[in-house]
Amino acid sequence: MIKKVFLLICLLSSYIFADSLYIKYIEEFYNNQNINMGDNLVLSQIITVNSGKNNDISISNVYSMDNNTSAVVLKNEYQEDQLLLFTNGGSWMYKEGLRKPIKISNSLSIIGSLNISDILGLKLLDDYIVDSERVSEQSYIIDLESIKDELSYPFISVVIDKDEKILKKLILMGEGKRPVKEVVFSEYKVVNKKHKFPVWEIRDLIFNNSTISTIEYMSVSTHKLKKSLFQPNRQALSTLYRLTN
Amino acid sequence: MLTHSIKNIFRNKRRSLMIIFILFFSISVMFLTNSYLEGMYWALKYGAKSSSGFIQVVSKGYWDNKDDEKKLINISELERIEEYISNNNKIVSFNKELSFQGLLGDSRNSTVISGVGVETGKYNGALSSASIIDGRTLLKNDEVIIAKGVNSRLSSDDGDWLTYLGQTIRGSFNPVNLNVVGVMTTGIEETDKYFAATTLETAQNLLLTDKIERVLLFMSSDAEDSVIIEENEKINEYFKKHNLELETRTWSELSMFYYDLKKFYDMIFRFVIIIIIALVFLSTTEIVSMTFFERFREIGTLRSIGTTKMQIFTLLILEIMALFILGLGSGVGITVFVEKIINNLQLQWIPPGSSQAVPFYFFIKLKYAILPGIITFLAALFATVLPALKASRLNVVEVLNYD
Repeated sequence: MIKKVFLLICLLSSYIFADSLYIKYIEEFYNNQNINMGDNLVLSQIITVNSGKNNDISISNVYSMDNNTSAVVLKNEYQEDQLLLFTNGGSWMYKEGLRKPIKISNSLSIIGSLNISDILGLKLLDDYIVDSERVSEQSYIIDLESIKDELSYPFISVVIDKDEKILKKLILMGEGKRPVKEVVFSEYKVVNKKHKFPVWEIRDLIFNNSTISTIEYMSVSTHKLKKSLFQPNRQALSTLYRLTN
Repeated sequence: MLTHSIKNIFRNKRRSLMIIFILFFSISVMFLTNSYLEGMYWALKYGAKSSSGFIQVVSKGYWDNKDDEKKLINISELERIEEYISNNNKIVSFNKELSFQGLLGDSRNSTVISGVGVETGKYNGALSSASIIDGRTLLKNDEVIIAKGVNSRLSSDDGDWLTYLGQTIRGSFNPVNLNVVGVMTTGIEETDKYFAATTLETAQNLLLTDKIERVLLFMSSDAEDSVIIEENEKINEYFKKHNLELETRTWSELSMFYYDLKKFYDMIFRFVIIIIIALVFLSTTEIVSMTFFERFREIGTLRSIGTTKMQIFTLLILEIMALFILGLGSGVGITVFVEKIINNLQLQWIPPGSSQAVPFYFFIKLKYAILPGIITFLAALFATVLPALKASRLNVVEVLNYD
């Protein structure tokens, strides 16, 4: 039965991307990352927010239970660590000492102008289908459209460098294809000998163009955690909080 | 001549009563409308001063700030402000405030709130129009009172602990426990959907700052606007002298809605006055003209026994003045009587956009009858002059032969 479902998904995927000429570069982008969200994966990131005045640095560890369930621990020098739980049913924030975790929106800016989707990483292949493709002088451009309602960015344009054949830029768009953020990929580097990540430079196109948030991937490891800890209640999150610190 | 005029009034009681009724009705309507509006202006002015303070002190550039970053008053600046207040007997009290915006809720639900941190145990500008409908007011830190709209979205009970999540001054997020101790209403339905209040120290803890946003200065409730402006200038001189990066605004600069609303109601009042002037003028002209027409023989007889045109004219004008005095007296008297009855009935009404009923109250003061009196008098006088002039100029022989 599982095999059949898997085959069906493969067939559907091949059908969805059947006409795409450049989707292989996005696939390559993820293949080079060589990570499978799930399997108790821990992804360490350094996030720098440069608003032109402050240069705040947060370190986040993403604990991924499966493709739909993750916990993000945010650490910064100004305050206690915060735990973000992200599931299919919603998102919550928790901090040690809190009586109740608080339900938050996926689009809430957590650090600077970054929201949960930005920190967890966008799933371009899983959550989007190709709408159109274009070729410019220096780039291939793929316009993606989301297949899920709850995503922060319903439309994304992926800009691929023609010469280097790597992802150069994402333009994240809201409803009505209004550009919301721009992500520039640079300095691709290999982490733990088998994971290749770029540095993400995220610029808010609506509110403050001077604020640039940077996400730099530091390491990938595994950390055995029970699925029951990924629940939006104080007891589970308190345990998860202690285990991840 | 005055005695003769007064006697004339009682000769045709029905006609005189008609004129008195028109004058009395016009004066009453204008007097009541004026009293109601003056009362409302006073309440609005009082409310504006109570919520914004007579004078508000903030950090320089606060009102024109287009940055995300809040402009706040630091501790040393605050000490200087407090020093000024302690040496000034015109400022009777003051309150410090710090506003915050974020999410309030629990694992099931959360809602956006816009709140304010205030000093407990003192008069609070931000809570001046709020009334507690359940629970109690703020007593200690980590407590919050929420507006009824916020409460209905969260379904919290007194003593419930909720989580607040908002951005700190540095821009990071800071979740904090808050204990709901009361539910309030601000009287404005829209504000009730997002308003909350906590102690100043708790608000500082939410924003991770030791600064404050504004200081509200309160003066004696009968302080004239000129005194407030004078005080405002003195404060600014003090700030300049001590090189403080602070600025101020008076209540009138902060409460533009008061002037907008006043303009609107003044326009309605002017419209009422125009209608009443037209009513008085037309009806008085009509009645007086008819009166003089019916009294042609009398006027002719008076002229034939040697009464001058001027004396006839004066007699007729005195008559209308005597009628006006009766109309004014009865108008004021009956208005005061109506005011007493209506005020005692304690009627209430819900203004548009408000969630709370407000009293329908007349704020009667005799000075509010001056303008209606003058307007009605002038309208009646102008309405009388022309017919009286015509009547006094009539040919004696023609008039005596008039059938």
